[in-house]
Amino acid sequence: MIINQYFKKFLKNLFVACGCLITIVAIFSGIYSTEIINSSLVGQIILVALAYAFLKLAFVSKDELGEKVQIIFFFVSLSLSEIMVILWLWFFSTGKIMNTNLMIVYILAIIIVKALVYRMMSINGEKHAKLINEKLIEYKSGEK
Amino acid sequence: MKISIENIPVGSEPEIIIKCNEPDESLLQLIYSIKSSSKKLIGFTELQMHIINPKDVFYFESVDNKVFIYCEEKVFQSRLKLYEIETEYENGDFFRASKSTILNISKIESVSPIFYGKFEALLQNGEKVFISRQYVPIFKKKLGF
Repeated sequence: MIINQYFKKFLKNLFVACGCLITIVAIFSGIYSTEIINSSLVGQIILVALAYAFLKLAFVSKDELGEKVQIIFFFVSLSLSEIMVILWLWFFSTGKIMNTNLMIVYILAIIIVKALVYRMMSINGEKHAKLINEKLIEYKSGEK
Repeated sequence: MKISIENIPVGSEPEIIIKCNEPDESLLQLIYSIKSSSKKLIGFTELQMHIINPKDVFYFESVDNKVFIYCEEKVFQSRLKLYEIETEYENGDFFRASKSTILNISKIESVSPIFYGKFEALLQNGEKVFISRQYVPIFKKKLGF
C-alpha cells in the first residue's frame, strides 16, 4: 500500500515533467515553424522526465519506511535517475559521447563520486550527531 | 539563578514571584513550564478516558488523520489535531520531528545519523523515531545551538 503511494507520486511527477517539456518544445517548435515533433525528441522528453521523476522520488520523505528500506529506496531511485541521464547521452548525443569506452569511464566516475559523497555524508552525520548528543545531555542536566 | 522559598500560612494559595530585568529565552521557558505543569492531556482508549501528564508523553503521531499519544508503554488517541498540540506545547520540551510526529526532547536517549541530514532518535523506552531533515534546525534551536 505504501509503495502504491510512492508510485502515484512518481507518476504525477513524470506527467508534470513530460507536460512541461512538451510545452517548452511546442513553444520552440512554434518559433522555428516546425510542425512535427520527431520521435527522437519524444524519446528525449520521456528520458529527461524519467530522470526528474526518479530524482524527486529519491528525495521524497519516506519516514514511514524502515531505515534500511529508506537507504535502499534513496540509492536505487538516485541511480535510476542517473541511468536515465546516461541513456539520454547514450542514445541521443552525437560524436564522441557515443563511444562505449567513454561511457564506461563516465559510469565508473559516477560510482566513485557517489561512494565518496556517501562516505563524506556519513562522516559529517556522525560528527553532527555527536554534537547533538552532547547538547542533549546538557539540556537534560539543565532540566533536572 | 537564585531561588528562595518562603513559608506561607496554612491554607493560603502558593505563589511564585519572578524577579528579573528582561526575561530571556530560558526564563520564558521556565515560566511556560510552570504554567503548563497543570495542563493535562486527555487520551482515549476504546471505552476509557485518561488524563495524561504531558511530561509522560514520549511522542505524538498522526496516522490516517488520527492523532495518537505514545507514552512509555501505552498508546492513547487524542481528539486534538497535531498542529494544535504543536502550538500548545512548542514552548515546552516538544518539537516537530517530522510531518506526522511531535517528539519530547526529554525522552530522547540519543540520536544517530541515517543519511542526507536525517536523524533517528532512540527513546528511553527503546522506540526509534525519525527526525526529518527540515525539522533538524528546530531541534537544534531547542537544544541551544
